[in-house]
Amino acid sequence: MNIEKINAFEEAIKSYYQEFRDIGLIIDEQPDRLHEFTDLASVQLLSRMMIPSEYNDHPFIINNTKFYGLTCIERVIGTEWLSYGDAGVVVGCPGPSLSGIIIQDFADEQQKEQYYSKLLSKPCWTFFALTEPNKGSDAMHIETNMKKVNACDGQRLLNGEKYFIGNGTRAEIGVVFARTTTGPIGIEMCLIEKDSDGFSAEALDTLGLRAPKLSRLTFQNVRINEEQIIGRHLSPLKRGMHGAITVFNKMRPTVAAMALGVSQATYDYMITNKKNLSLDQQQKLEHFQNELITTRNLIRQAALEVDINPRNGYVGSIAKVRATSLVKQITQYALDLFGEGAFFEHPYLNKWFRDAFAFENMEGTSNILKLNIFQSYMNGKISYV
Amino acid sequence: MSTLLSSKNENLLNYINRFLEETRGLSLFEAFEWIFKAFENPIIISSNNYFLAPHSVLENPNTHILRGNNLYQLTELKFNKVNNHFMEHEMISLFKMDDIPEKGSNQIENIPLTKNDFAIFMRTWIALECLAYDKKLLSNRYSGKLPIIQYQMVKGQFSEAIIKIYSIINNYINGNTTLENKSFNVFIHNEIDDCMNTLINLTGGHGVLTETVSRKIYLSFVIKNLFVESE
Ligand SMILES: Cc1cc2nc3c(=O)[nH]c(=O)nc-3n(C[C@H](O)[C@H](O)[C@H](O)COP(=O)(O)OP(=O)(O)OC[C@H]3O[C@@H](n4cnc5c(N)ncnc54)[C@H](O)[C@@H]3O)c2cc1C
Repeated sequence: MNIEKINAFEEAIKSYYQEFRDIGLIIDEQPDRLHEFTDLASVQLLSRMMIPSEYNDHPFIINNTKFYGLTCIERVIGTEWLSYGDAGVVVGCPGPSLSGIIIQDFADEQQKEQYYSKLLSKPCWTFFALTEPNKGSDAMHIETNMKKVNACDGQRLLNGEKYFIGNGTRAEIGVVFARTTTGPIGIEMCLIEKDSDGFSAEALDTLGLRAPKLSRLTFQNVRINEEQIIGRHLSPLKRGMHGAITVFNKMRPTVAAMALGVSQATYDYMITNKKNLSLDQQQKLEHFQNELITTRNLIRQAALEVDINPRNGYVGSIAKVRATSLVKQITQYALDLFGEGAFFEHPYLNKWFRDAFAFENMEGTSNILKLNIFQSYMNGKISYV
Repeated sequence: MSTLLSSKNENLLNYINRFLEETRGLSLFEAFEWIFKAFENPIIISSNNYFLAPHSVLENPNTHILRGNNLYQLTELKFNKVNNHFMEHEMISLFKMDDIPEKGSNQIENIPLTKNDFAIFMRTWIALECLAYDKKLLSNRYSGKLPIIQYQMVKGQFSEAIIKIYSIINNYINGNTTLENKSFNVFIHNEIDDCMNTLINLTGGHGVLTETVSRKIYLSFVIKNLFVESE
């Protein structure tokens, strides 16, 4: 995609942030009310992003170019601006999100048909279930299992628990990672609908990013047919955990873009609402402005790299470590800047402060990403160094 | 803990030592109660315009509000409850005062506990609680065959948090710079912020759940915002 088209896309998407800003605080207080806003143009736009052209008659069209949100560069730009409106609503919106990458890259035609037809019929939420109560960063050792019922047919039983799953209570369909045998290649992905027997979801209460209603999913002897296993047609090395790694590499710059959107919103709020800045305060804001520029440059570079090769994950790691650190610093500084009572007299600052903590854990914690950056360096993969 | 350069009165030093020891593992409102009930009559320390109060203390008709060196009876003040879901869950309410009379019915010469002391007490206590929570959480979570707490990077982060907490308490107890020095007070609270940010990262996803430590973390920053005058 050339630069003019990307710029046109960015100009057009900017105008959508306000709707998210308008509903952000309402959804933060009552996440269930998100259902009331699915007709908003911005929500519709986001919920159709990442649905490929074969299934999507309503792409985002600017100057005759159709945008499906299938490239990382589209996603980071769109996500940054919509998160500038409200990051919680971005993560809480109906649409493909993380599981969409799995379906697009690993599913067969029948699974795609099943998944996308649901998404097009009505506002439909999806989930991506990898993390478990005891296993987060160490996803290679998940315990949820999918054992064969008997040796002759392909039927399996899914048992286990998933934790911190975005939109789990409202999703119609999603992807679950489970173990079929020991070892890293013994993990498979399966496509599950919410009305499967033995599947239940329960919401967890969170401090920030409340719109997606993180949840605990429980699977008790859920029957899984061979047709539900995603990537059957691929070699075991090219599916399962390889799917999770692909998703994380492709979506990490997008999470960084969410943090950047919130950081920029906080910065602009300070500039607009705080008068008579002292010299120290002006210098601090200049520092933040430079941080914003640096982080945005990294995120966009990460997106371009991932679009060339999804294995180029390290720039996304660098971008996300910076973005998650920046969002905490800037949201906390803003409260200091406005002084006593800012927490309660500036509700957006309160919300952004709370939301800022959530990004750290999405698509890899900073520690894990730093290990990944180090490994890339040791393997001679990092440009310039 | 022995004191070296103390310019503070012994009572206050004993008091923070006792507070940190006796409130270990208690809930937020119990820690608040401990502070406020330690006076002859329960006293709530307010910021310029706000005060935080555990429900039980407010129910006591003898409760007073200490603002600067003015002591007010509850009936002398007009105040409204500020809606706040996260603190209400911890049985703590937040109030904003209006038309505050310049002088309370009593003035106190030697304030036993200033708002700066109160802020350090509570925020240090919260940091210690989070440290203990993280220690327990990460000793019981495994990455591969090792508990997460045994990874070098994680040990390093725990140490960073411990270094900050130790420095804060040492500054408070053994230092001869007073918290009434605004820049020093702000510096200490910025150190607590750093420590809290390290500890939050260490909690992983559990840190965002309200049933764990996240409300305490939230309150730590609320206390800073209400009680610490920025530079
Ligand atoms: C808002 C939000 C949305 C989420 N959405 C989803 C979702 O839709 N689907 C899903 O599957 N999951 C989701 N998650 C879960 C997320 O992926 C996990 O929280 C994340 O992987 C971290 O795992 P954990 O919480 O178990 O922390 P842990 O892995 O227990 O880590 C705790 C701490 O230890 C550190 N640590 C762990 N191992 C090491 C190591 N080897 N070396 C150094 N440090 C280490 C971590 O960096 C962290 O600081 C979401 C989480 C959040 C907060």
